[in-house]
Amino acid sequence: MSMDLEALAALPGVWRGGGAATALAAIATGFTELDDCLPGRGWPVGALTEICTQVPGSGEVSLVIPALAALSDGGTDDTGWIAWISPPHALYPPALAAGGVRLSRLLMAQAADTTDVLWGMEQALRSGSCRAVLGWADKTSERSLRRLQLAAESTRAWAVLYRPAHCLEQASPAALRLRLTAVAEGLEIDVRKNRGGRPGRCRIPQEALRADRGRPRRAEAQIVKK
Amino acid sequence: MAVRQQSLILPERELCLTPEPTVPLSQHARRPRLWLALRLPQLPVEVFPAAAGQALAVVANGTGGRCVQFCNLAARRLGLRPGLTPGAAFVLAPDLHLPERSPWREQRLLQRLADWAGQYTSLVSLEPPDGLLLEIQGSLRLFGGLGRLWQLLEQGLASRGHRVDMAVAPTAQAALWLARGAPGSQVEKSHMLSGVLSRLSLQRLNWPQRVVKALDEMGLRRLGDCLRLPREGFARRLGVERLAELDRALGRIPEARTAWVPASRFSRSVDLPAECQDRERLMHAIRPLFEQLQRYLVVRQSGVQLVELKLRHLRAPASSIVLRLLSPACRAEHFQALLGGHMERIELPEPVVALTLRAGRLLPLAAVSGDLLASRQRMGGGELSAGRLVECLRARLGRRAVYGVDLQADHRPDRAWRRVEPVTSQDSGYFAQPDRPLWLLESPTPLRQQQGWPWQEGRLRIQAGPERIESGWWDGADISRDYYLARNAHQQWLWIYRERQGARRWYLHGLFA
Repeated sequence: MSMDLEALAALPGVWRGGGAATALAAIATGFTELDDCLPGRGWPVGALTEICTQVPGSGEVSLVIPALAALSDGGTDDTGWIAWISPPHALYPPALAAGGVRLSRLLMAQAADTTDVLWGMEQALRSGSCRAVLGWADKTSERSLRRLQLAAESTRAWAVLYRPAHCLEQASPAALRLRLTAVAEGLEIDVRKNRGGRPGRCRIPQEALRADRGRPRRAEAQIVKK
Repeated sequence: MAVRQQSLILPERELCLTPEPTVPLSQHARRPRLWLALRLPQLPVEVFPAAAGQALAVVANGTGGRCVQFCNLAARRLGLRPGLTPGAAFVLAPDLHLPERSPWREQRLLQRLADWAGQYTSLVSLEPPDGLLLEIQGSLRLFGGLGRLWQLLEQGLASRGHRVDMAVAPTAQAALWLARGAPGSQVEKSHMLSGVLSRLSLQRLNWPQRVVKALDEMGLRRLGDCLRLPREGFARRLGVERLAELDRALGRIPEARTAWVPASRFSRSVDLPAECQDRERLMHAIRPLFEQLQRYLVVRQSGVQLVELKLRHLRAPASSIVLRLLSPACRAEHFQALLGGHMERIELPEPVVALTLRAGRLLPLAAVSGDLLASRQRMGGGELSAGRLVECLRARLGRRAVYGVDLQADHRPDRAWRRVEPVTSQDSGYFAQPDRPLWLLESPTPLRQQQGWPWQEGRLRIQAGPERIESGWWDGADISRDYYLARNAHQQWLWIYRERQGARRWYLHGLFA
């Protein structure tokens, strides 16, 4: 009896090598190009994601907006909170709302220094009430990163730490490490560390990145412009 | 004239004070009562803080001038007795602490104990100067019977450092007398009452000395002797008040007791035994205050959103810590944990000598139904709610540093949103403008210009625009700008504008991060 590989893999109970990776809980990033690079086809939940940029403001916030919109718009009240700790500039709520993020689920906090940022992120993660915690930090010890990773593992939250690109030289316990570069056509993503997957590269076109893309409001706005 | 001697023990018929009820009385009126009397014989001493083994006695002006009235155990061991002059007392105990008796403090302590006793019964009544009455009939079932409740009260008072005499009787007056004359008595049934009361010595009642002396001269030494006297003669010789007391004790006439109504705001102070600047020890000293607050709140089934702690210094003005909570809370650990964050930050100019804890308005606690499994599984075992997270962050980062956001109906970019109280607010549902940057600079930064073009490490390439925003003439902060989307050498997307009036300068206002 002959059986081709596809049919064999479709049988229940057949263990596959890649299974460990697909078992990871993930939130779809909203960008097919990036989803294809990631083992769970999305941002890893219950783990730390590091996003590093050469210049702040290269598109690192736009990259997380679709996932946050999905997280905040669960429809029920127990969707959990999204905490932003110390963004370098104030996040502009109208742009977040245009991206589909429910503003009433957001919690903004400004910390005085990196220690407080990491402390705040850890508190938010350990509280168990946040679905996503995003923080900005510069110099961090590996120990504090490990604390964050452990805090993220203890809950089902998605932790994001934004750091400058030179921090990529430092080892990190994060499950996913990305380096972003804005290029003329859009955003170039270099996946440096990818737990359960392989490092890789992908490029997201500029049109996909715009925070308010695909929203009905944009269509209305275009009509107004004409 | 034949005087018909009427015994104080009335026949069964007369025990019924009201005529046979024709309509059934309400359940409440018919419910038997059971009173527990607490008497604190050492209250005047117990109001003063004393370290273990420190001799302490209280002086007051008596008939023979100033003399010792009460002394604690350590002082008694040194041979002090009530009636000694202060001079003699110091000879016996050189390091004696000898404060003036403070009826005000005694009253306060008694009220505080009434608050405390409120956790065991709904009806607590003060019996100054040193007694409390608790109506416990309704509490017996809840606390597992009289024996258990008795034990709870005894242990509770002992742990607060009080010596206590207790007695239980079906009437308040009888319970008070038994607590004085025969502490430990437990009379649960009315028909046993007269028998137990009869054995009480008249010396032990709180009747005036004159009355007791008069009775003693008549050869009457026990309460039972009085009960056998004719009512009229007893009332004439010793006063109607005494007869009424006897009647109340035996339950022949009802006694209306004023229920203790606790204060509507919590406020407590504690003097530290020694000056203290160490935060750890201060936290330790505050703990009992928070526990008192918790008891106070639990009794009322309420919570507070505002708690103020004042740390008093000897000379400098008091330092103050204000805890603000997002939702009414009542747990001591919660307050303590929040205070920890504040304590790390506060600067103490001097050692602290006293602490005052004040709570704000009482608010009903939101009924929270505990989730057996679901929430833990869903959120992964976190203990703190979002509200607590906000409080915790605020304790360290400052009140203004933690906020929520909402939209505002305004076309001016920096007024299109506002800060709101996090967690508790709702979406206003205003329309969000398209093409807005994710980062908005606090204030627009002027851009360099070359030949009229905006410049930032090279000429900025305009990608889209203009979007004209002209608004706000009504409040003096009017703007008139043309906004463009531009890219710079780093391929960043910028939100820039050119003023339509004046110098027509270029500004950077946001980043499409």
